Amino acid sequence: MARVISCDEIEQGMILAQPILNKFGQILLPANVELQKKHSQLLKTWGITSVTIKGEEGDDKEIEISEEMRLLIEENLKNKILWQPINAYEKEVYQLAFLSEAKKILHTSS
Amino acid sequence: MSNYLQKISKNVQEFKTLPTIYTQLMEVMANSRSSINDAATVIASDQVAATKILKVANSPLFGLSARVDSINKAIFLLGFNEVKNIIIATSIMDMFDNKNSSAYFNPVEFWKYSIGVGIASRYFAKETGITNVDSFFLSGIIHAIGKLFLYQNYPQEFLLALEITHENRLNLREAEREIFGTTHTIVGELLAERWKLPTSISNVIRYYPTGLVNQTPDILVSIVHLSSIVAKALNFGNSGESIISKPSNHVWELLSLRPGALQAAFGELTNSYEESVKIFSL
Repeated sequence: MARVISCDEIEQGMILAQPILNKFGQILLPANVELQKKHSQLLKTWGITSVTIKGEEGDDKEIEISEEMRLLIEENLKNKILWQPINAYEKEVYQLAFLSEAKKILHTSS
Repeated sequence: MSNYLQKISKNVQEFKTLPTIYTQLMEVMANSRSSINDAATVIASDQVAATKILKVANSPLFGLSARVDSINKAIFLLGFNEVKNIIIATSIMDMFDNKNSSAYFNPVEFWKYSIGVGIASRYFAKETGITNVDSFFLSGIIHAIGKLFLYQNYPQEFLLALEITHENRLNLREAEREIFGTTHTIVGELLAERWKLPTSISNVIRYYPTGLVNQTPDILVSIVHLSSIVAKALNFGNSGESIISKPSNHVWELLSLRPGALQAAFGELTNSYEESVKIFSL
């Protein structure tokens, strides 16, 4: 998932999700460029204050899961997890399996 | 049925022991006058082992920020014990033939799962506030070694056991008892004896499905127990089992993890798993 950060938060290796444009709509930096620490200063001198970067891989907490997908995952997990989570910890274990299953489905379909 | 255990015991007695570099290192460590250099010299004499140790020491499993480029440095940063554990883990991994895979069991996927359990065990040990996390990664990596031994020696029977678990959604040990009259945990314990591993580790191998040693909660065994479940939930490799069992009730009180700690582990565990699997070049 993409997120907007301030130029001060730019870290080496972050990937630009959207191009950076000047006020005339000209592209200063295209999307998918790997940012470097020095970009932080450069962008500020161009008057840019924030950039949109790509989320980290495996940052699946932000995956949007549709109702259909949730049902599919729950159906898959029914064959593996034959117990009902009864406390908060067990619910977390179930949630881990849920996230992993979601990731698997997204990877095989893309 | 019962003669399987006898046959298996015999197979274990005839199976490989840990390499000489391990026994030599144990001797060096037993001597109070030995220095890091003495141990490093022993390890460096086996170039293959030395290279492997450095690879593993640099994996995200240990989370060292400094680059480990010599055995001396590995011992200095990880300690004698953990370096010895790396030797045990890599030696055991080398004892098995990983080539023959079949529909229900793939040794490479089994090792990936085991590495995942090693990573999770070390992670949860730290989360629990345990200061000495030595042995956690080794325990995770070899906790289910009995499965591989059964697969290698009795492939047809072991695959049948797996097939039964898949078709009937059964616990693997129940199916193993049907077919072998024993379980991979008991076979694993025999192997641990063969390799003269410490009781703490053979307890993990024998009791990880419950986390209880003679009905008493054990922290190392319980953490590996939980990690084996988490690794299955996260689809790390393939344990061969079709179901994810319920964590034992005593685990939560014993570990007293902070709420949200398990879910928060998702990203880090997944990343170090993926990186570590590459390093073990499976």
